[in-house]
Amino acid sequence: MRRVLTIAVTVWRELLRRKEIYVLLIMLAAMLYALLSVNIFGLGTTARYIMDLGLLMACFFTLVLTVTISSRQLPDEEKMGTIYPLLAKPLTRVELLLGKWLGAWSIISCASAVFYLLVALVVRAYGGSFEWRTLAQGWVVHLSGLGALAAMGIAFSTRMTYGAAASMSYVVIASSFCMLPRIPEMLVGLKGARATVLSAVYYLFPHFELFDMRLRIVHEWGMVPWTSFTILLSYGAVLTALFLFVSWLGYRRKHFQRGAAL
Amino acid sequence: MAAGVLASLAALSFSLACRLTTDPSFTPPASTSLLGRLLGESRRAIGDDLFEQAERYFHRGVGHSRKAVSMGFFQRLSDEVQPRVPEHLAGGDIYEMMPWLRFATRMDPHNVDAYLGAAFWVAAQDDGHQQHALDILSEAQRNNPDDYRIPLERAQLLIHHGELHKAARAVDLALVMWENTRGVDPGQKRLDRAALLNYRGFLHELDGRPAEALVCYREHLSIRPEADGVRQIVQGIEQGRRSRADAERVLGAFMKKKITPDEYCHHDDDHPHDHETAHSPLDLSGH
Amino acid sequence: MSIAIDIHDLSVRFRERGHTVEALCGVTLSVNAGEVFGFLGPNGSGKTTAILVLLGFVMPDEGEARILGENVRNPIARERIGYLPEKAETYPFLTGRELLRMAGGLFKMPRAALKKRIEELLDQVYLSEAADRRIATYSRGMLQRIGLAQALINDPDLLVLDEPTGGMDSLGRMEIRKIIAALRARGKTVFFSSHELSEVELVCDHIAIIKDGRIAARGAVSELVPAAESLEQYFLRTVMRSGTRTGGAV
Repeated sequence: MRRVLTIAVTVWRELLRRKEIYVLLIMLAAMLYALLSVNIFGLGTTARYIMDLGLLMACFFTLVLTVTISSRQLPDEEKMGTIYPLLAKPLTRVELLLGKWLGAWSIISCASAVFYLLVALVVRAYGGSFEWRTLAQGWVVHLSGLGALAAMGIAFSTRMTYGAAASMSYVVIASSFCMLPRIPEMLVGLKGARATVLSAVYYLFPHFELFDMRLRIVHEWGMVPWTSFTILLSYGAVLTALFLFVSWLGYRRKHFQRGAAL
Repeated sequence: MAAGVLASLAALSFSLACRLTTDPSFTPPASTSLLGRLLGESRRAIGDDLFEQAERYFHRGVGHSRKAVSMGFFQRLSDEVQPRVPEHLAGGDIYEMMPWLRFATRMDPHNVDAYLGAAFWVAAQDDGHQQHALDILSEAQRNNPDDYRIPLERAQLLIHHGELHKAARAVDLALVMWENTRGVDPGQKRLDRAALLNYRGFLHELDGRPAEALVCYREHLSIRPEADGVRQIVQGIEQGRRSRADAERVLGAFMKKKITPDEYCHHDDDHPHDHETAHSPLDLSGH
Repeated sequence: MSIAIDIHDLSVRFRERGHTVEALCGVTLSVNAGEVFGFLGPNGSGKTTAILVLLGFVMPDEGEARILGENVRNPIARERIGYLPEKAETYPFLTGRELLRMAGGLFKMPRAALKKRIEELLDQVYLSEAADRRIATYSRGMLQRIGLAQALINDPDLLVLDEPTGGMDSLGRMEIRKIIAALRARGKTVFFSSHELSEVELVCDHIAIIKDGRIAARGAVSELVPAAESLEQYFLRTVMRSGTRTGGAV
């Protein structure tokens, strides 16, 4: 575990010093300020849409961060050549993968907590109402999805370049948000091979859209029942474990070559 | 950062696609603003989407649902996470949808529906923002000088507040503009003309001119022969049974009437949320 | 005398654009503990591939490699080795001290011992003053020295150096030589790959020359290189002909 934590701490140091998170935080604050200054038909401003757009941006930023950070960890190690002194130490590849995942997920979790908190405080300051418990539940569910997403980014990057792994991750995310929820509607009146293929896609694709509770938070629908909440977290954990296993399969026997330098 | 570039390219390509596939049936005047030039016709699509977002807010985040095949586990979980049964905003919460209507009008100043929705709900509030509603309609009229729906909405508002002379001018203006307004569904346009004639006839009645009112009501019946209430009024005037006092009683009831979200939004099995009849016509019978 | 590196009949093949390239072909080599061993060869001869096999990055198709008695496939084999790659690539966002702390963490060193070891190493590689600066601000020589420090964090019994003096000025090269000499004095084994034949001549006891994936010569420097020749002349003569020369006899 010490080795896993050592790798995770290095990921933290990298991200804190690259300042991407601070830039996104400033962007979020600027966007909230811009929204607050909008005068709606001379009636002043309202808080719910600020909550809505604020949480949307918070989710979007953490999603971009997750994909960017997780997809570049392994390719960057290879590109910089740091993988060689790293794996020349008694560090197994499983430990390296777990350390990278833990580092990426934990720092993104903290970043998302700051993003959520900023949005919540601004909304409260402007008289908006929401339930803290639902917000906390939504954040935990969101983190569960981000964990799976980080594992997916790492899994793609074991055998792809950073750009390819990030692109693949975005394609999967976009599909799960835009295409998967439409499949039950598309299947109405559809039979045969097309229906089978669509059903298979529906069940096999990761359902990242399930980890988005913004609607409940913004429109004050209350908390998700605890049973469903537990199932959601379990689903996130299973997805994470699955992607980390795929990462290990892709990485355990990977040969590293140093190109012309060899 | 790559995602930002991708998003910008996607927005640009969408904008270009919308420019290339402009609906030939309706071309609003070219925009002079930077946003207008940049986004072109895509502003309409974005404006429509923002208007739909306002509707979703009205239903506490729940959009229109379609028929779907039951897909078991994931769908059940999704139903637990995402609310599916719409509920209406009420009271001051109605204002929560105003930002989206404002954004819709900013994105597409020719989105008359967004202006009308905003004016309607602003005026319907307990604390009565009639002047705000009228200001919204003035802005709408500046951006859409030929659209009869705006003076129609203004007339309804003014009647509701008892400003009958101004209302009469608004109805007359709407009737003049009606012919040349484009981009409105023909069926809706016919119904709107019927409503305008209804208002005009009613205002004539209140002004003590039953003969002129009769002309309007008869034209209304030629458009909507099924309007039994109007037929009864026509018969009442013809037979001398309906007086100006009856019309004043109707006006009194209309002015006291409060708009509720449930009245605004009609549910039925085929189309759970139909807002086409949002502006409920004046019940001239006085019931 | 115990064996630090034992390579037996090692073959490595790569698939490249539909062709099979033999990077190493039946390489057999042993390095005694306590030796400073120079591993020489022209570009593309298989030097770095052999090092990558020793470090477990590349799995051999045939044969076996053991370091300090352990099969290279076993991560335990890497508990007692240190490795400095050719370009001393490291994390630019860390400080020198953080890099060493990270390296020690991977060896699960006790925190107090690690702290002491870091100070020792920083002093040894003349980086105490720059220890809290980001590595991104280090010069080429400083990079090489911090790389060497991280390779030495676990006080390894076997140190593998891949072109350790490449691109360094003469002062930097001298410092590396001093460190290697100190390690030899403490009975450590150094496996040293280099193009700088004058460096090899100064620090190595034994050498092996690899050519086209095969060992072309191996033995003590004093036995292999005739008195009238420099190591450079001997190296050039060896890589231009085939066959294996052991202990001075081809």
